[in-house]
Amino acid sequence: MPMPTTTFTENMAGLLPEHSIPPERTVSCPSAFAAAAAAAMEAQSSPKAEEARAEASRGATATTEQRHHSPAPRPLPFGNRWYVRLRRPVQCSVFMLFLLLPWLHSQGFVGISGSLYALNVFNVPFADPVSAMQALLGGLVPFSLWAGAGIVLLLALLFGRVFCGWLCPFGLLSEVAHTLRRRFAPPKATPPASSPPTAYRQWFRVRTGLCLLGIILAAWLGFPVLNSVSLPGELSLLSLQAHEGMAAVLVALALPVAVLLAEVLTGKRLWCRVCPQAACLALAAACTQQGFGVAWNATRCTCPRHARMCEAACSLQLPVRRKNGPPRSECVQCGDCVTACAKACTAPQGQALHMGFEKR
Amino acid sequence: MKPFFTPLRPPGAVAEQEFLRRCIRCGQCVHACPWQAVRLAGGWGKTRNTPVIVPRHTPCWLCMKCPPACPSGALDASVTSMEKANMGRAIMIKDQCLNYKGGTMCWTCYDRCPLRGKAIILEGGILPTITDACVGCGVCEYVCPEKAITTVPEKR
Repeated sequence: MPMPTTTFTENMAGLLPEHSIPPERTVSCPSAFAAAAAAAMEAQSSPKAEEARAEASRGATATTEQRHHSPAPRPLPFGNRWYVRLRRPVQCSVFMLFLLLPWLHSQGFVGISGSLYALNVFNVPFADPVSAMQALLGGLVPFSLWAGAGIVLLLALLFGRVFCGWLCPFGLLSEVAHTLRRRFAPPKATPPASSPPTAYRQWFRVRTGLCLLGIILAAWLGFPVLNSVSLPGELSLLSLQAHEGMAAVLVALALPVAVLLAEVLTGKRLWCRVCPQAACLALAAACTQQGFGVAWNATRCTCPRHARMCEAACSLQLPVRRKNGPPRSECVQCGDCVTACAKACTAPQGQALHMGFEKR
Repeated sequence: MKPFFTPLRPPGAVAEQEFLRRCIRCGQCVHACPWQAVRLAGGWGKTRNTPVIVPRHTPCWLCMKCPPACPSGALDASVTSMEKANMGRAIMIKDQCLNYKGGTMCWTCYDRCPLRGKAIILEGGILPTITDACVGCGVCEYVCPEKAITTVPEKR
């Protein structure tokens, strides 16, 4: 057996230098061979021998098909995930924009006003659908709020929950905290699950339930309750609260910081899974499978089932390797899985995950 | 006593209960205000992040830019004239006013009132008196050297 003592996963993560891999396994795509080898090794000891063998043969078949039938795709200038690299700058600039808005207004730039509850960008209205529904409890709202909520829902339908992954300031803080936590206190190695994670179904129910509960409470108590616990809205109003003094800033930061602390302590992204502000976005995003999103191409996928580089990279712990990619109602289009996939297998036959409108 | 506990809202605000239901706390009126007179209320209660005006800090000069900016109808966008701002009412504390006390002729409130000659008139040519035309913008409270005027929000 040519398999060295290191496991397949370590090879794929790029922890080993290139020359340490035997040359006969780097001919086309090392992963298929490695998968076969790993499966064969497992077959001697593991009770999952049947499954692993099937997996290995599937991977090998797929690679052979790729080699013979479809040519390698022409590489894009920055790879097939170049816009994923824009995400962090976009998130940071949105947060900075909201922090600097009062100053920009004082300098005469009045094109953008509002917060993430309702935003006016050069007279194009945007509105949080959940806020709009709560405002509706007070009577018929003006057309601009309808239009704003409609635009946001249409964007969610086309692009999925890009708001959560690309614009939300709390999403930025939560992701940075999660990344730092993973870097400095990596989670204990858990045995790979035999089935893809399904916990996201509960999150969807909890989120929608929280949203409905909040709307009922808003009708009962007479003020938009969900806006009091909205972290993106609170963070986007931070600069206006700063006008009131340091005490007001501390009050405004109390909830986000408490949630961030809880997330750092547990090592999981708690809030973003069940954030009631995203309930409408998730519903709109789940309406179609054809929009912008992550797609998984089974014939390109070369990792064995237990490796799951993409699902290990997903900060929301979503199942990625499914026919239509991760569930659209939960995926925030962050592209971490696509990046991990491209890193795991640099061969042209790899890169089974793709982000975009077209499904390959 | 209820009026003293409701904050002074920007011009064109609907009745307080409906205002709390309708206002989605987006802050567009705050951004629209060129004087930074509209500010966000703090605290944890119902009024968190709702717009208020604190006249003794910065009064409203009735430029009427915030009602059209409101996306949710909490500020009535059809209110565009200063006379219909309907924020509240100024109250004169006569034993602090220089003119009532005598000895000094001070007509600062009369001169600086945005509704000059309508909301504050000079009774007998001397004593400033607040009329029903007052909309409660709070400029008189801001400019009064003796702090002899208090603005009370509209009773709703």
